Amino acid sequence: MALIATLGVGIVVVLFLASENIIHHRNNFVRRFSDQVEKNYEIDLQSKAYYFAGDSGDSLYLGNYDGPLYMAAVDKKLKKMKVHTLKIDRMDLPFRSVEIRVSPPYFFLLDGTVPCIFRGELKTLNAKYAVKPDVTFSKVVAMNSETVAYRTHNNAGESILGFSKLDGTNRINQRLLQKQIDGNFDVDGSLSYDTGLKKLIYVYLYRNQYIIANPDLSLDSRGNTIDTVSKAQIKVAYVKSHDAKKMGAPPLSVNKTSTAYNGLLFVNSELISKYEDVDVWDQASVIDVYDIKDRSYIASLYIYNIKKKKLRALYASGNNLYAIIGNTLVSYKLTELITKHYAVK
Amino acid sequence: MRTKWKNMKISISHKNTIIYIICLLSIVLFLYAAVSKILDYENFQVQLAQSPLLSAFAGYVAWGVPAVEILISILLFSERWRKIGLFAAFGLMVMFTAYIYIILNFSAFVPCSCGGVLEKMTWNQHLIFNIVFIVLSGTAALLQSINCQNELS
Repeated sequence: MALIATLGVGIVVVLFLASENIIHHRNNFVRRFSDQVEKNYEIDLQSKAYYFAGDSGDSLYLGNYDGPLYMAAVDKKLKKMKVHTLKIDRMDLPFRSVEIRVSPPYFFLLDGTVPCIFRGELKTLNAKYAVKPDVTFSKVVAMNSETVAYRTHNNAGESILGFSKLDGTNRINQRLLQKQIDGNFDVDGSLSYDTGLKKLIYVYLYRNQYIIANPDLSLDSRGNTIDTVSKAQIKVAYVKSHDAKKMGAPPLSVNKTSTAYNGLLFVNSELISKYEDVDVWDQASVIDVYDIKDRSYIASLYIYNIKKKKLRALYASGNNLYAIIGNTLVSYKLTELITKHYAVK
Repeated sequence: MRTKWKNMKISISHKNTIIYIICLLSIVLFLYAAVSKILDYENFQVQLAQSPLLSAFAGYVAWGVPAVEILISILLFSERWRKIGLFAAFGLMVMFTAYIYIILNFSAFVPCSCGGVLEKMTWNQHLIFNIVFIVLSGTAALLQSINCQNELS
């Protein structure tokens, strides 16, 4: 019987080792790690459900997926955290995915599934129902106190970028996201708005490209991340019995998440480069930093895991790069090599 | 000598009851799992294709697993092949459990493709459920072996 158990476990372990090879397969690009960044602050958020909502003056603002009306204010030196409860003037809507975004002196409370946008002042924390966008949306970012940009879909169900203003204006641009395979899974990615540079940046999840657009959704340019995956390595399967599209194979994640600030683009990449140490890869996440103005690669840095959890959200402000790792919010000081590329000094 | 023989007879029938019950539970489990996979076959196959470990073999595993589950149920049902069925059930549950453990601890992507109510459990509940069946089938397999040995002697 011990023989059977060993054989059974052995077969599964062999399958696992064979699949691991794919992940650690080296790619043909090189990273620059000239300057090491140091972690300067850290704070325990007490909950694993926080996300970055924005910042204003001395505070970072965080929203909470488990408690959608909670807004946490943390000072930028991560010493103190205060959790506020927001008030909104309508609770009757079919909320399913509530998020908050900050655009000082205001904040937005949005739900892309309804869809609806509330706005309130950071001073009072009371949000009033403002407008109903004409499409459902996700990946929302605040461009200014009147406008939010997001990812939505066209009539064919394919993902596109758009924005809505509080005065009821809505606009889309179908030519920003470019379909390679199916138009939904393959164009997945992360959206940010660089308030200093006044540009929208969308970084594709499955390919080495990012899109720079103007606030009116006109295309500025397209840049490339340093890895070599130009075509999304995903397989989409259509399950007729469920009338659903699903991934048909484990997808190759290239650029997991990103954030843009003051002319810099920070991208958390999932691909190991040619000369990197695999052991570090198991203990940290890598961030590649780009200069948006000339679409060039500056350098890379490691953000170490905490209690075996990898970083899952990024935000930059001042001279610091903030990351949420599990329950913890950390701050890394950016070195001059990186900050000298800032658009607004 | 006589009382010893009587005691042995009673304990054998206890053992048999335990074995019968475990076989019954296992047959119900495997048939339920196999049928729910077959009824949702297309979806089951796609879910397997999403698994980092099994993606390359999704086609084979998709019909292979329900076939093995049904085969084991038949073995358990028959008197003659019951022992083989119990060892096979034990082996299969060990493999399923090893798979869950590895996917949970070493993989970024966690798909599910167990069928029916099993899908609704949390991963930890599923792990415990599997370990219970490993113990049950293992116990029954051992008992059945002892029975066979006793019958021979």
